[in-house]
Order: sequence, then C-alpha cells, then structure tokens
Amino acid sequence: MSIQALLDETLPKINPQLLNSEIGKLVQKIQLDMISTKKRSENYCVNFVIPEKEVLGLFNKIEPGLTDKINLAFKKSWNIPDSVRMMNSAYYHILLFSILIGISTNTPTLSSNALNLLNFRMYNGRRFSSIPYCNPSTMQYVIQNMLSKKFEVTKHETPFELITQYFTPTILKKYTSYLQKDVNETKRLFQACFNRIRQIFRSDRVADLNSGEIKYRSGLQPLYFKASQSNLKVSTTVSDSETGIENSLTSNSIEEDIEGITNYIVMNHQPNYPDTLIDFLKTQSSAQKVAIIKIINKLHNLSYSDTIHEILQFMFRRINYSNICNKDFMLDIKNKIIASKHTSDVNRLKDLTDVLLKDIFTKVFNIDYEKYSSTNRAQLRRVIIYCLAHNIQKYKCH
Amino acid sequence: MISFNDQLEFSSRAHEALQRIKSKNNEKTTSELLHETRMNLDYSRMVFEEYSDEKFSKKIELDSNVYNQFLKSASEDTSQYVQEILSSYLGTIRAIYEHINIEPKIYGFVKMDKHSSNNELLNESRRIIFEHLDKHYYNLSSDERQKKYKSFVVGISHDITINENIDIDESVEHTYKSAVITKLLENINFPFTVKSKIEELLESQIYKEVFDVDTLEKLWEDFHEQTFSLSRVLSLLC
Repeated sequence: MSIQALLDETLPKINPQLLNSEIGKLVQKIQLDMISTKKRSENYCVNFVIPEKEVLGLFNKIEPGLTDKINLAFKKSWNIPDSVRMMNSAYYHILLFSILIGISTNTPTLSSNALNLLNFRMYNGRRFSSIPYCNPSTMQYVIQNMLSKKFEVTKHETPFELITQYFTPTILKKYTSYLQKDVNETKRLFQACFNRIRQIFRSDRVADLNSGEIKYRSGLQPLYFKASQSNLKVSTTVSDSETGIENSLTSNSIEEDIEGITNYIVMNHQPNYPDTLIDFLKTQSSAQKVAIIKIINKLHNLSYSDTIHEILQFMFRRINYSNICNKDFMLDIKNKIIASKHTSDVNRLKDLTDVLLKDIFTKVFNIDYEKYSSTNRAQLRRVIIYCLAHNIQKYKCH
Repeated sequence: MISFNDQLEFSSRAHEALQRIKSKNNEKTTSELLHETRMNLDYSRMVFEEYSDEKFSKKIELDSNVYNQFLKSASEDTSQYVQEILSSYLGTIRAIYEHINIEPKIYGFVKMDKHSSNNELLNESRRIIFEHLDKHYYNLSSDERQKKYKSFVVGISHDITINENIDIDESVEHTYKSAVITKLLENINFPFTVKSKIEELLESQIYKEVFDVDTLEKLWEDFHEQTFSLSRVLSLLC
C-alpha cells in the first residue's frame, strides 16, 4: 500500500490532538532530562535518550499491526535497498507519518513535535559517528573559542534548543508545502534533516582520491580533533590570537544552499531539461545531444550525492554568489571555472567531475571513460559543470 | 602413365597452393591494420593542450605572413577576393580546432610571435613556402611527381577543362600547382600530429559513441573543399 493510501485509510481512525499529546509528552520528557545539570554540562556531546519503544507503539494502540504497515508503505514508496538501515527504520517512518497527519489535520504542533523526535535521534547518530568519544570540556572550548560566530551552534546552548528552536521550524517551514502536494516528499524531508544535522559536525568534504581518505574541513568534528590534539579544554586559557582557527570556509546560508541544491538534484529522478540548455551543452562540448541527455539524466542519482555536494562547494567558492540569477551566470562559470587552469581548486574539481563521469560512462555507455583523451574529457566535464550551474539557477532563481 | 602416387602428389600440391592463396586472401592489408589500430587506440595517452582563442589568434597572425607572400604581387581586387575566401576558410579551421578541443598548432615560426621583426617573419614564411615546393615538387623526379599527383591531377584537370572551357595543358599545369599549394595549406593549418588526431577521431568507435562526428566530418570536408578553392586562386599568383 502506498503512503498516501495508508494515510487516507488511517486519518479517520486518528485523533490528532491525542497523538499530538502523546508525542508532545515524549519531547517534554527529553526536555526535562536536558534540564538536569549533568545533561546540560554535556552540551553538544550529549546523547538524547530516545523513546524508541514508545514511538513504535504509538500506532499499534490505534490498530494492531499498523506500525508494520506504515514501515512497509515507506519502504515501498522510497524504494531503498534493505541494506540501508537508517532509511528503513520504522522509528523514522512512524514520525514522518505523524508529520503527515499533523499537516493533513492542520495540527502544526504535532508535525513539529514529531520532527523534533526524528531530529534528536539523527543527532545521536551523527554525533556518535563524527566524535565517538566526546569530551564536553573540549567541545565547550571549541564552541566558545574556535567556531565561527556565524554558526547556529554558537547561538544555542544545547542541541535540544538548536533542534527545537532552529532546525525543526526552518525545515518544516520549507517542506510543508511539498508534503501537502506529495507525501513521497517525506524522503526529501528525511534527507534534508540528515544533511542539516550532519552539517553541525562535518561538512566541506574532501576525499583524497589517491588514498581514499575522507576529511571534512568545516563543522565541529575537525575543530574538535584539532582542539583535542592540542589538549585544549574549556579550563585552558589561551589567547585568541593563538587559537584563531576560524571556520570561515563557508557561511551557514551557503552551506544550506549547497545541501539544498544537492538534494534538489539527487532527489529529482525525472529531470526535464529545456532544449535550449541541451543545445548550449552541445555547443560547449561537441558531444551528441543524445549522449548529453543520457549523461545529465544519470546525474540525478542518490549515490552521487556526496560527489555533487563537493563539486558544488568548489563551484560556490569561485563564483560570484550575487550573480547566480543574472543572464551572464554561465559566462561567469566559463571564466571562473571552465577556463581556469592549473589551480589546486580547479584540479580538484576536475578530479571530482572525472570520478562522476567515470561511473556514468561505465553504467550508461559501458565505456572506460579514461580511454578518452584529456581534451575530450575536458569537453565532457563542461557538460557536468554547466548542468550543475543550470540546477543552481533553477534552485535559487525560479 | 600417371600412377596413383603421382596423382596423390599432384592433389596434395594443389591443396597446398590453394591454402596459400586462401591465407593470402585472409591477410589484412596495411590500411586495414591501420584502421583496426586506430579503432582500438587508447586516446588517454595522447597529450594535447586544450583549444584557446588566444592561441588561435597567434596562429592566424603568424600564418598570415605566408598568405601575404602569395599576395605581395596581387592586385587590390585579387587581394580583396582572397581575404574574403580566407575569412570563411579560417572560420572553418577555427571550428575544427574548437570541435576537437585541441590547441591550434603553428607550422614553422619557432620561437616567433607578432612582435618578431618583419625581416624574421618574412624569411620564415619564405622558408616555409620554398622548402615545401622543393620537397613536394622540384626535388621530385617526373616519375615521382606522376606517382604523387597523377590520379588527383587527371581527375580534376579533366573537370576544369570541361567546366571552364580551357586548354587541357593549361588545366593540367594549373592543377599541378594547385595540388602542391593544397598540400602546403593543409600542412600549415593542420600539421601532421593534429591531422592524424582528426583522422583517428573520425574513425574511433568510442569517440563516435559520445561526440558529434557528423559535424566533424562535415567541417573536415568543407576544409578540404575550401583549401582547394583557395589554392587554385593562390596558384594563379605564383
């Protein structure tokens, strides 16, 4: 059964106020827990106590077996392999279903409480995977002395406040209209939550293509490890000038745009590019239209999320942000990215685009991309870069 | 009388001869082998720089010295006419370089640019022309010339004689000159490495799979047609 069908079937049996009250209590319990001195002192190292059992039991009280039905409906609609545990988790599906009920019945607090619970668990996962052994004193030092004041983390004392006062309202504001139109947009909402929470700990991903080692240049994780190596804690007194390691690579709003554009691309499985763009790409690359369409359609794949995200980060570093919606944006791309040669940023961009094209060529044409000459590869890279630029414009300006 | 053993020997010899003929028929010709090699080439090993407008402009600036050598004794009208042909001709050349995304190559003029002295540029353009004429015409014996140009000259001069109603000897001489200048223009605009690259791309399977070979073929044909038209005009000036 589809999510929509299940929602239609379940709505008459549900009292949204009652459901809201139950979920609200679970959020309050976490809030009370956070008020305790011990939890508060843990600040961003905290682990929320997740009410998994209570959440999984919410819908079985209404109809036995409903939890499994919801879980199955999401698995079917999202079409995610069984191996992806997180996206197949019934805990998240129940909460997303509650968000849909909140939207359908015009009970915004229900949606908001459900999304809070979803984000708390995501926070635990991202925190643990980024900084498994987290020392609150070191973390406090990082937040007070090393993190740019532009980051939302510095404006909220605990992650509870960050999630309930900033993430949940902004995410809901953005995605409610999408969810009203199509319940399958829950997948996009889920991905957006994941990306936003992950961004607290790590962003600006850099992969060493030779060693395969992945590092992050922004977020709490790289700063935490840096502070940890220097044994810097909240009690340590060091002058500002010695520790001015400001995380100034990207501001939060640009990071959010990059996340948004990445999701906009990888979640859109049926892109519809205008003929004018295809003609433009043909002129710029000398490739056949049919091949261009195959390549750019293949870009819209969840598995390319990280690579596209990183390519966009490089692009955003070089382009004029205020020029995105102008007619000469593609010219800006040509001058600052395509025509630029032999700088470390551009070389890195080439490597990343090549990684993407190599995979696309194997899957679409069954050809080893590396058999093409360097000049032909440069032409094919233009297809990707200009296509991403087109998506940036579409996301930001339409 | 032929014995059974003799018959057996004859038939085994005939069989061997047939096998030799058969194996010879199966052998690949040089052009077939070349074609096959090109089809399977790994293009990633070839290192060319990417096309740039600056490099193309530099090429045109230097190449124009060669064209000017032909035009030095031409009338104003003829110069004007040649400039018009050249404008479209250079457009085609540029489109080819852009299409294959290869940095335009300059024939001769080593370590020179538009700021080099007029004398240097003049001497180099003369060297290019005279060396070419020596190598491709004057230093060849009449047999070698015939071997190199006969098929081309016979076909074309015949057409010229009929279409333009001129004397056959005059037509043959004109076609010979045009053929030699055609070769010069081809070398100037697409030196050997680039020419080979284009021919390889035109035959490459993996290139055809993704890139627009039809346009490249059309441009390449246009280039050859325009080269011959221009060389016919230039041949009348020398």
